[in-house]
Amino acid sequence: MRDLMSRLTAVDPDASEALRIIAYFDSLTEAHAGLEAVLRGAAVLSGATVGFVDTSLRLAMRVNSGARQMPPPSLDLSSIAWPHRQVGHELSLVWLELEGAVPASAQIILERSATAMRIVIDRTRVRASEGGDEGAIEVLLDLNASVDDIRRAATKLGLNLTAKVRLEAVDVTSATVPRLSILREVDVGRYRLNLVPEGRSSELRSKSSGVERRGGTPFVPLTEVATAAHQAMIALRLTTHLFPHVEWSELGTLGTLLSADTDSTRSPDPDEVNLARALDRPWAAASVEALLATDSLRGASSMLNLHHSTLLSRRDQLSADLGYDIATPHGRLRLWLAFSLNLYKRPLPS
Amino acid sequence: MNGRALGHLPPVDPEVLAALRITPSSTSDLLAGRIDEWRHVFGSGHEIVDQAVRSGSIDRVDYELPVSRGRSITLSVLSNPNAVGLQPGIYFAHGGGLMAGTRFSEADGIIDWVSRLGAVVATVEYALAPEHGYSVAVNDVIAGMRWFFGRASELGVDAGRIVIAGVSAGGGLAASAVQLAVETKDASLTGIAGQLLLSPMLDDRHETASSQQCHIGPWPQAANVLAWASSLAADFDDDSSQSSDPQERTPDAERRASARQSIKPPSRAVSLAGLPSTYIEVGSAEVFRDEGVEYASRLWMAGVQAELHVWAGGTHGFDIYAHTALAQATVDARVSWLSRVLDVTPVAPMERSVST
Repeated sequence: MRDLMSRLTAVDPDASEALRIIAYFDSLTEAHAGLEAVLRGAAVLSGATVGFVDTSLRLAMRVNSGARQMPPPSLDLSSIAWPHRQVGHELSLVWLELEGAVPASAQIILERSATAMRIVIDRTRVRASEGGDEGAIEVLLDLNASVDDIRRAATKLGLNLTAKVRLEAVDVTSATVPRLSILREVDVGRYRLNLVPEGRSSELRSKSSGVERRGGTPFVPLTEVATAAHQAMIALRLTTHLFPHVEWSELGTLGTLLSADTDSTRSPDPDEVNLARALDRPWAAASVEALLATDSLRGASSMLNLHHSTLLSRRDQLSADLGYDIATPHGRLRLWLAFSLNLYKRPLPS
Repeated sequence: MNGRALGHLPPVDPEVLAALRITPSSTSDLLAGRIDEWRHVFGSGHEIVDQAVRSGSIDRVDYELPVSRGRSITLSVLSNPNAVGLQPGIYFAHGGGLMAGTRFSEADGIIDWVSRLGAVVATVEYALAPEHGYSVAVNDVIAGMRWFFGRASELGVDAGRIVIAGVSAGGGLAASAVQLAVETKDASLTGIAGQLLLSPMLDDRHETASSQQCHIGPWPQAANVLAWASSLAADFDDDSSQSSDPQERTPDAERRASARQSIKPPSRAVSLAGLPSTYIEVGSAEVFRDEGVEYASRLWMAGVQAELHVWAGGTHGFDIYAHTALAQATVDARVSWLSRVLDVTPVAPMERSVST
């Protein structure tokens, strides 16, 4: 077949190839063309076989450079070594089967076709996982969900689009499971995430047992649920026996720092290492918490039901272990940061 | 129109629209009277045929055929090198608004028939307007048809399995030629198996709804009006007066005789009875939509077998955007009909670079 691009180039050599590629996909999008049309366009403009896999939608397509359909590829994204782009999220890829150096035009084709396909999917498909309430909650928790996705999910959950919800992350031993709830997992373990619509919080609160550990957020619009869910999870990880309820809004910059600390391969810094070693002493964790939570030795010792001289010697012991004086404001700040990070990395109760 | 309201042209298919948006339009050259520029932009298609010949996927032989008044026409016969024995034949007239085009303008399509059907395709280069009139063009097409039927066995063609095909202006010329062959009971043209009319230019009256709806795209009503006017007017003009070739000079008497015998556009035929099995395709967003539909209806009314495809959102010539779903469907539909009428089994479509 005659390649569309070379045909056009022969007719109009001055027009920019990039602009034509962009105009082509923009036109498909405006006219509500489907996924296959975008793939055929990418194939004919690049002169290469084009593939697309979306594991969440269980979609797999492949068309040859003549824009004819080929047998679909497997849903295994890990085997794709061709130049590719994500279509909205990491479970969805479009690729061009080009050997060697990837020309600039192919990069533009990949980028524009990925954008066009994302728009088609937003317009036409409900995520495959959106089966029951849990699926709809998953959509709300997806940072890449479009407003249309969120609207559909909210309807399914019986939520008004203008509703506000509070996110509460609780440990999996929590006895109370509200309707808008889903189990989640992070590197330190599993937890339960509850969506508490405004006006229903008191009902939930009265049912919650006092011993359950809970991280909470302020009430947020549905478009911010995904971000708030992450914040609730961070707050939960900072809870302890002494302080089982932590609010994200009270964490301040510490919350921001912990959100930013996403490199799980980072080796611990000396303060973290020293604190971890110090916490091997059975009394250490509660003492550190009490010292950080109060503004006097006396206040801390009464919290622990200890004689204040006992706590004083423990504080000196801790200062010696850590290599800095935790009685000074600066030392206290270092301890607070290291202890927060230590809490954050502890396994969740299971 | 019977007083019924005329709406907009139906929307163009999204893929075709995207391709049109990035394809420069050449119709402005035609409408501005720059015929030479327009003929050039319309293209020759020779390079595509040359490439197919070089790759070994087709054989090509050219013939010069003398016609009236010392003129001659060129035909190319394309065949499949792997074909054994007599093959079905397709006699083809190209498009180009009666004013442009070459016998290879639709090279992709005719090479596809050679490859997938094993057909022997004869494609003819007829006289163009405004230098020559409609009747001259039709007579050129008929002359080539007679030659193809007469040389059939020599060319490896089963004379009982020949389809007359044409695109756009060529579709109209093919329809006219077939009408004349049937009407005159031309003994040298007996046994036409069918006619394949692709977006055929059948009607010079510009009265249909689609004709009045279509003011944009690759072949707007204005271009169609200009093309018909140029072609039909040339039937009455001295078509050789502008020519430097003294051999083409026609005496007044002969010219008037020719005008009296001028051939009418296909839609003006009084009867369509006795025509061979017909395939008609048009796009819903093109000027030729309604004349194609009407022609099919009249064929059925006359008891003639006809297959009609109206491709939703197809503009005129949408099939050149071969990557679109619409073009793929139309190419497959043609091959399906041809295989039924010509009694052959098509092979699957393949990449042009792969030779068979």
